[in-house]
Amino acid sequence: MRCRCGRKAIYYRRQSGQYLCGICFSKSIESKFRSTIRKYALVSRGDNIVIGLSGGKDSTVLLYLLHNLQKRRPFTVEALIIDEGIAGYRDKTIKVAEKTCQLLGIDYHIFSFAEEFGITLDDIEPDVSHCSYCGVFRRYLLNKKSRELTFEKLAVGLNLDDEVQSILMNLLRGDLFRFGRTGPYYRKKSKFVPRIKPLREISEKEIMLYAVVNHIEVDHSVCPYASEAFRGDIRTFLDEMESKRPTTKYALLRSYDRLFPYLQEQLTYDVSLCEQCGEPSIDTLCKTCTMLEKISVKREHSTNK
Amino acid sequence: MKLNLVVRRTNLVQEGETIEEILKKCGYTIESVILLKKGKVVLEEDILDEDTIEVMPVASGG
Repeated sequence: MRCRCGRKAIYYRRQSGQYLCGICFSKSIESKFRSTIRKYALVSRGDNIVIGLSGGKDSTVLLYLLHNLQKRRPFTVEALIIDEGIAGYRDKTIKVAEKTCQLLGIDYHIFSFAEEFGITLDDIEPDVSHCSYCGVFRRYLLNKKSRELTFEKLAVGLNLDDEVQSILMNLLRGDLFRFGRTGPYYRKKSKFVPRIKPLREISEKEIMLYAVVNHIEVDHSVCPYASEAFRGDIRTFLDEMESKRPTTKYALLRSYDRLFPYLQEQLTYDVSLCEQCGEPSIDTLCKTCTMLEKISVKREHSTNK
Repeated sequence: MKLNLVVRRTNLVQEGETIEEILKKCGYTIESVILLKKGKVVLEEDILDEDTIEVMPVASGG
């Protein structure tokens, strides 16, 4: 099959019925990235942006795309790398992340759970899953460090699959407050660095394909704790639906985005500051401090035994 | 993780089966993988009998 430009096609986009060559495919991804940025005014001239970089495909591709966008409009980009302390996994991805930053001339900062919380993810003995601790601690550090380093926006590599998985997970859990916070933009709140998600309309498959076609080095490892996550079941369900009915994921995101302004109006919550650490929280103690206390109690119990 | 899939008539693969059907037997959907032939991305319809195809799952990270 041939692409519309006459070159040999390498990809069939089932959602639109298009056959694309590597060049036209890459251009379509870059165009989608820019149109998402324009639609929600995610990047402005002179912005000081930091990207949460892991070395995996999503954040690495996002770094490349933002780096290229700098040629069109002036803004600064640096990277924030979080080391959760997952032996045999994160150490590998951090090396790829550092290499990418050095290649593109991007400044980066590394922070670890061990230094910031006194514990690695491997050392935690969770009640349910490691992922619940990891998500809370990671978001906490990304926000806190972005703010302390005076960045105005935090870019994250969440893709279409991540977004629709979160929407469905929060709905199935009955967690309406989180359900109302998966939108394309955020209202400014005290001590919160606004997160931007320029890849949220691009599928995981197309991001990986973009990395492969453009010879971008990414780490392909799967987190050893990923199988514990509820997300895996939702991912399988959505992939099967998408295979049977292409555009399922995009239609779900579109439906959610239309609801989002109403959800924001209805599902409001007051943000105060955590009594212990001073970071933003909806309770007297933030989720991170609550979890750290729980870990500390557990450790005391096990040493007393 | 990468998986090499040799497309040939075995007990697993029956004559006339599509790549999508073969992938399903291996636990993948067409949406969850990229297919590579000799290191290059390839369309399903360009895969021939006896080809060795590298199946690259797109899910990685956490």
